[in-house]
Amino acid sequence: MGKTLQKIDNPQVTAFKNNDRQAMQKVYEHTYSKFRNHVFKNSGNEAEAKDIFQDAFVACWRNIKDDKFDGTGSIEAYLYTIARNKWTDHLRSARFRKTVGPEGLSKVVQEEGDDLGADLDTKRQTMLRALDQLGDACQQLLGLFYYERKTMKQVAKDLGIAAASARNKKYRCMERLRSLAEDLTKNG
Amino acid sequence: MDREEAYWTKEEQGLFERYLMDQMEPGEKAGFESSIISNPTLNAKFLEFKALFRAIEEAGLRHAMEDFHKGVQKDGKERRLVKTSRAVFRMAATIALLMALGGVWYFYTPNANERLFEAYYVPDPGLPTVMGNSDNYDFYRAMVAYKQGDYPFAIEAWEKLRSKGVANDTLDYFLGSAHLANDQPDKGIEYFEGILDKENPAFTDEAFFYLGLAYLKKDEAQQARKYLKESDLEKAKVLVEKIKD
Repeated sequence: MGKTLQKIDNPQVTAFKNNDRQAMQKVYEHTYSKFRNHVFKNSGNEAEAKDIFQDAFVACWRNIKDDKFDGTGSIEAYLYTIARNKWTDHLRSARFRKTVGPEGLSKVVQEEGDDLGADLDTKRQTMLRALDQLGDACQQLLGLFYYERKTMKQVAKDLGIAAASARNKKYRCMERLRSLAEDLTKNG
Repeated sequence: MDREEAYWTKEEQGLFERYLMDQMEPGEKAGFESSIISNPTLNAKFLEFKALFRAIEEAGLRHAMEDFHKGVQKDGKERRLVKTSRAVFRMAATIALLMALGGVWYFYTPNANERLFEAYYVPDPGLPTVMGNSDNYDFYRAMVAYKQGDYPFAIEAWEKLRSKGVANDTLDYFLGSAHLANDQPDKGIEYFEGILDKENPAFTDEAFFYLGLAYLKKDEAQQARKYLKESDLEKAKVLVEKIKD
């Protein structure tokens, strides 16, 4: 299951793992104001601040899900550090980067293009593209169940169908999504 | 829906989603984890499911963030108004106090160097991560963590490499950087000084700069100035002029 750090109980971590909207919104609002000030002081604008911050928020959320955040500090501080580092990367992204010593880690490197979404790896992009191609009904059903964490009974009620039918649809939608992702992986 | 053969069974999907949504009891969870370790086919199926599951979650999160952001904009405007009136009041109070104390009080508070540190310190942004070379995989994996601000993970991984006998300036430089970023200036100093003791070390200017900053964080102005003067970085020259004893 990959390497993970020692964990301590942290209610914020549990909230993020469960996609708790209220808790995440609180962290977002609290941290964004501080980050925006940092960006404004460092030659950035509102649109850049928002894009970088949202990428940082997703990275932070993913790290929490993958148990890469040890839970000893606040998520706000952790998120702010990620966002600030991303901003520094963004500022330096088009510049010539330092060379490394001769011991084997050596690479003369030119940072990649100045793409705000560059940290999305290829596989994630493929999965997101496949999801985009999935029909609206499937997207809605999967989102309600996997992101919003509603029970199957609630999902069925929201969609106006029977629970057994919703369960079958979910199964088929996931199969359909996998098939789309496979096609995109093979054919680009 | 086409009738091609299904990739997962319904039971497998149910199992994977309960694991990913943390709905398993500890015993079942441990059993599941050991079964995917011992069964590569099941593991491959799980990883595919997990990647798609995460994409669905990420799409949901990105959608939710647009709503979060509307709240920030609205809130931001309100806060700015409040902040403006508070700021005017605060400025007036500060001017009165500065006048009363001869105008120089602000610059001689015990935290002046701490404030300078905060103003000038930005962690080294790290190296671009090239994961293709397996020899350096562990190093770059930790570099990814470092760039994401997960300094404890990076420190642990790099110190492990060091204990295995990997020794070079690059590793030590980033260990120093990670410790400093992790609020451990003393450990950062050890690594930076270790590099600078060598002949023709890599990252000389950067190491002197961050060494100076580490001492500044410890409020040791003389040492901070001494090392910053050794760095040819422009920001080091600017900073050294601003340090107060």
